[in-house]
Amino acid sequence: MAEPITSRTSSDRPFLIGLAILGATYISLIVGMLGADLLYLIVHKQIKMATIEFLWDDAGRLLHHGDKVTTQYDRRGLTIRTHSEQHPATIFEYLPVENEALKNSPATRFSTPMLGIAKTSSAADMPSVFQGPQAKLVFHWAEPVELTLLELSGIPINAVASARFLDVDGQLVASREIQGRTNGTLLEFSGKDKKQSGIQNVSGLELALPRGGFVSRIKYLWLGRARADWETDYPLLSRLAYNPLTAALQKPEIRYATKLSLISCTITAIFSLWLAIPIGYLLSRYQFRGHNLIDAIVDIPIVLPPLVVGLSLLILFQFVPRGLHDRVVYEIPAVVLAQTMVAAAFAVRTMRATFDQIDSRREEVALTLGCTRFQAFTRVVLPEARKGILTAATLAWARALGEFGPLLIFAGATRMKTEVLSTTIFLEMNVGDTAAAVAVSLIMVTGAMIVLIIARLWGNRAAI
Amino acid sequence: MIHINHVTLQAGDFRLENASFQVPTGDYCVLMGKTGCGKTTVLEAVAGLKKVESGQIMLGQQDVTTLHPRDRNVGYMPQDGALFNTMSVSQNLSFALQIRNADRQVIKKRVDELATMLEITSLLKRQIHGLSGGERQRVALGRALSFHPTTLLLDEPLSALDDRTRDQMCQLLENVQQQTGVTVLHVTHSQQEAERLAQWIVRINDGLLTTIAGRRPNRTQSVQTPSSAELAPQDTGALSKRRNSTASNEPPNT
Repeated sequence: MAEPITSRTSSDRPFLIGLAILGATYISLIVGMLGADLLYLIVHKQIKMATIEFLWDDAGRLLHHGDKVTTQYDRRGLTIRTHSEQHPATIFEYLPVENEALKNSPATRFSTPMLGIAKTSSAADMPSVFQGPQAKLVFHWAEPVELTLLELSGIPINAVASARFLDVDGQLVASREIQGRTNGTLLEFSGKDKKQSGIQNVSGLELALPRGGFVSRIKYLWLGRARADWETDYPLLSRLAYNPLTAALQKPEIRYATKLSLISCTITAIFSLWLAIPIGYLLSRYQFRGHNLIDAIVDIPIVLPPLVVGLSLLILFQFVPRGLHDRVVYEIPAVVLAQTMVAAAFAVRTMRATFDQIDSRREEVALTLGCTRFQAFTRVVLPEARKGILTAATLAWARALGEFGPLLIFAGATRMKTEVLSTTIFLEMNVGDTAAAVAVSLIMVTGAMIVLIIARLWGNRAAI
Repeated sequence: MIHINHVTLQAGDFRLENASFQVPTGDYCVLMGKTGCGKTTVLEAVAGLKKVESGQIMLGQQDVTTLHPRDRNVGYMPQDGALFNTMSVSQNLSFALQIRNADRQVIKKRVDELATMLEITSLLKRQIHGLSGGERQRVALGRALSFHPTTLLLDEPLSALDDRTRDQMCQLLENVQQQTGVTVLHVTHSQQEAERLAQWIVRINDGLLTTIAGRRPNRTQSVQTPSSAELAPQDTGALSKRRNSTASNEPPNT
């Protein structure tokens, strides 16, 4: 008796689900990567540390004894006034004491400039310190800040100064009583371990100095710029207008790097095609002695570690005449050369595959129709290779845009000279400006995308 | 006249030694043999796309053995047509004349003439993409004929076509030959085609060439009938290295 055939239920589902999981993982990583960059720019809170030590004003001018201070620090959002116009906030610094009378008055001799209240508003007089129950320095910030440090000195022993921290609406946020000491008082609001933050949301500071005293240093974190009125009404628009990306685009170094990247990548793409089309054609169409050797040699830049390419170029240029060496190494030609070394190899691969796909019969027919080899190449092969040429150029361009290792060694990373966008990311990360690095990488992503889209559009049109 | 005179060819594993045959001017010769027996290589040698190791190829009264393909005045139509995909049908047809810097009026006249002869007038503006197999072969034929070649080389021109189209193409090839008086060398492995079109049949069998008269009456036959002795294979006997023995068999001289 024949065994009963048990029916099997076969399913392709596990296989398809497996494919989908693997595919989806990778796709979501790619999209997530780019999305995270974008998100970072949007949610990133720009915070800048401002340290004011009264040595220079925001325009970079040195402050001197007797200079009145009001709006000198408004680029950092700070204006300074006193309780009265008659007694301006003034810089005091070390001066040899000539006037005996001044010797007994509170100290006016410091090794560094300090901010205090002057007795008179007249510029001609030697400033002396105003004392009185109403004596008060008033700091006002255009944007709420996080105050992290306030250093006072010159408060007489047994005297008490008081600080009142106010928010935007003039409400008291915090206050401190400060006892005079001989060697100055350092009020550090934020701990060094960053666990403890400073006094938040401070828009104003009233510092009462009834028996004299000075401010020698003030530190705070703030937005980095004063916001315009419309920005509070349209916060989203404000984010669009002011984010790390726009900030990056305003930096002259980054503008220069962007320009250099675009130009050098384009030149590299052209050079790569110029090399890749003949080499690719030669390798694809002709068999000759050393064919395989040449085939292997053009692959070397692809497999070589990028740093080695840069170093080898550098060493190669040790052996060229001095004049040429100085014109290339650590100069812009080095950027293009280093980029071309690698990009051209990829272009050669692409062009060779392209020519391999074009049936050589067409050229042979063209020959019988009266073409020379050159005519057959330019009139029949090149038009057919159009799509491949575009692909090769795109690939070379994108490759050149990302080139970094060889550039660092062969062209250097000098700002405003051989700095391309990938170098910028490196330099910005080095100084800890992650936001700028992310912004620059988004510029690169945009550039690469545009090139990709252009290539796709042209490619498709060529196919129709 | 196509005159292959003791030609030795090498292409990959395949080798043809000391091969000879002759096609009289204006006649239709079908070159037959199994796949991989070197029919296409012979064709390429005549077109100048393949170097011959020794021997001589004559087209008409001219020795073309070392000439560049462009100087041979040979129309070549490879197997799949190998049309220029980036050009329109009319650009394909006018390509050869443009290379020769012909006058625009001349080119236009010739393209119209070819289109009429091959019945592809309606296709002239079309791109190559989307042409049917039969249409492609007509365009390829037109392109090969455009510059008034004395010799037409066809490499399996009908193999990719369905029966009906093949029949039409056969008719067309016959007409074209009669109208233009071109000498045709047609490569195929189909007995049917050979019977239908050939005035001469050259068979390649294990490197051995035999020439016989085809069914269609050739011009010579209308003048004189070749004796059976002349058409019988004649072993030259000079070469019998393994399979590379050779027969030289010449149709009667015109």
